Amino acid sequence: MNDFRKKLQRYPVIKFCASMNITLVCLVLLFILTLWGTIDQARNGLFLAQERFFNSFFFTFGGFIPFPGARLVLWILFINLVCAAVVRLVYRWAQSGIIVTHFGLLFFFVAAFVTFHGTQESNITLMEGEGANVSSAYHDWELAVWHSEGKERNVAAYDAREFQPGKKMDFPEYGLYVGVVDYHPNSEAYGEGQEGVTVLNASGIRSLKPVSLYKEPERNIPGGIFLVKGAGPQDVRVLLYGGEANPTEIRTGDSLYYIHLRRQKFPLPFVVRLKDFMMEFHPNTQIARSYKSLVEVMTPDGASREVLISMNQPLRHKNFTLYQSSYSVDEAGRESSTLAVVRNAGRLLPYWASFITFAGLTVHLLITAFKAKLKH
Amino acid sequence: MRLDYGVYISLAVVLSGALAGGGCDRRPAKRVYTEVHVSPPAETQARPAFSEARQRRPAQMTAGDPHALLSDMPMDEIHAGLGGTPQSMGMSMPQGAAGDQTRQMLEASVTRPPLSWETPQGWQDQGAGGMRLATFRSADTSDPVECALISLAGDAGGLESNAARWMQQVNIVVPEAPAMGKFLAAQEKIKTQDGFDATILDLTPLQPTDDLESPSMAAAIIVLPDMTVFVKMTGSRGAVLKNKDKFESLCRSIRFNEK
Repeated sequence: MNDFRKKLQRYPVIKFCASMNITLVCLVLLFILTLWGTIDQARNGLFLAQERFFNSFFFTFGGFIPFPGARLVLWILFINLVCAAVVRLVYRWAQSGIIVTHFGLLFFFVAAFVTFHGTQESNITLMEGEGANVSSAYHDWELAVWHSEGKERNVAAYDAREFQPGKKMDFPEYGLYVGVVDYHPNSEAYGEGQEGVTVLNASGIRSLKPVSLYKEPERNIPGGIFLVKGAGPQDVRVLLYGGEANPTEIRTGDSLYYIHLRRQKFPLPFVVRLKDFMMEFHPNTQIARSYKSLVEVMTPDGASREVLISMNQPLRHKNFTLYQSSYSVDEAGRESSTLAVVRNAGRLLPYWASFITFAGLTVHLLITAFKAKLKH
Repeated sequence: MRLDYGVYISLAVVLSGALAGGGCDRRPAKRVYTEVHVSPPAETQARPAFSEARQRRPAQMTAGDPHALLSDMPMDEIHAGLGGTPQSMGMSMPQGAAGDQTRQMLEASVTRPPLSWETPQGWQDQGAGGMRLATFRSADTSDPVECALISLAGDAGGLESNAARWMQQVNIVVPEAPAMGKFLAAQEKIKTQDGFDATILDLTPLQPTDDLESPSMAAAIIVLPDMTVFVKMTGSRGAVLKNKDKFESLCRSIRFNEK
């Protein structure tokens, strides 16, 4: 052991952090959290259970009793493993299997960290025959402006999370400048407005009423009044509400622009087109037995392939995974399929972590076996 | 090489990776991207002729509500009367300082309803929402019926396929083609106030006569120029039978306000 490690070992804080007791407590807490979270999600839903048990540092139960969340436990376990690597591991070639395994475990934490912060979850809903290259966020919103309503739109969009009165947005590509006059992260829309106040809106909405935010963020529908400059001799006040299906048109001279407050869109590196949606019911019931979406994936290089997405068979393309998530049937019986889209930049990291851990265990096994043979 | 140094280098790499990963979810405030949209074939486009479509969110279906089972309506989040004229919605046109250009843009942006109707006595018109031009509910809260009025472009699937789908929705086994043809031929045909043909599909005779509890349905398909209007009443079989006259009177009262 070199001098630096010897010095570190003398620090009581590091010695405490490297304690095996902490490892054991953390593992027990993770077991409890996993079990508790799994049971709770059946009652309160996946999103709330994830937020409470796994994405939090602390939560309370029984109204006031604090309990550590998985985020805190995992950070403590990570620090514990790092400290153990610094002061407790014995760095000899004979121990190389244990060392590699230890670093494989640490790499799992890096993979989890990157996945937690780098994963983007969204969804895409397509009617049979319909295709798109963008997916929609579940609860983030954007103010989007585009020029034409054709097959391809060049969209410029601002993230609505930063909207507050006075916020200015430039769209120089369209000669438009948009200012936020009023913005509510959750609102209700009404067809009646203040007498003499002019607002432009595609759906006949004249006023908005702010309402308190729901716990489930996907239920919040934002709305706001925006001042659009550059759309003619006068500034235009536009009322946009997240519940509108259609954008509001703004005409400047001969050009027509569209402005829409909508769920954030994420571009995909391919166009996915729903060719057929298939649903089977259990006999004589309305209980679905299986859902399948036959999709065509078209990449920019002109390649095309068909993929059948079903409950446990997602479509994988680069960092994107598309899962069968939901469906709907409209009044005319036309089917739409909803696919959950997950972009995971660290998709391969858990595989690498598993490989490193496996390699470490293999090396350790071989060294142990070799030593045993030598003894005999 | 001493193993210790390799360990320190590996630790540094692991920690740097973690720190770098922390910045992955930071999105720039402004994004520019190209959106490609491939439209479905014209005959399958599920755009309502008037009003706006939203996707149903299955998570918000009301548990235990018989209507939730029966209706595949998208959730309505637009509280404004999307189907009304500015006047009918109590709106006032811009005046005074508002410019002509803005006034014209506002007028052009309002969706005007193509249909009018008379709400049957004892029913409540709950207004437009989602794909619905109107939703009605009977006043009888103990055994209510819900009735939806929707217009879709084109023939919207035709009589037979809609009848089959509606039967499935109320757990009626869809008959073979000859029997289905016979059933459809036997259904009542009426004329609306302005003379358009309407077929009323009454599914109650296909269910046991002593069963008044099971979900049931009566629906009307009215073919208008370039669009089809669906009127669909759902509720228990007893409630559907009880409200059938009101349903028919609603169907007869529908008028097409040609532009």
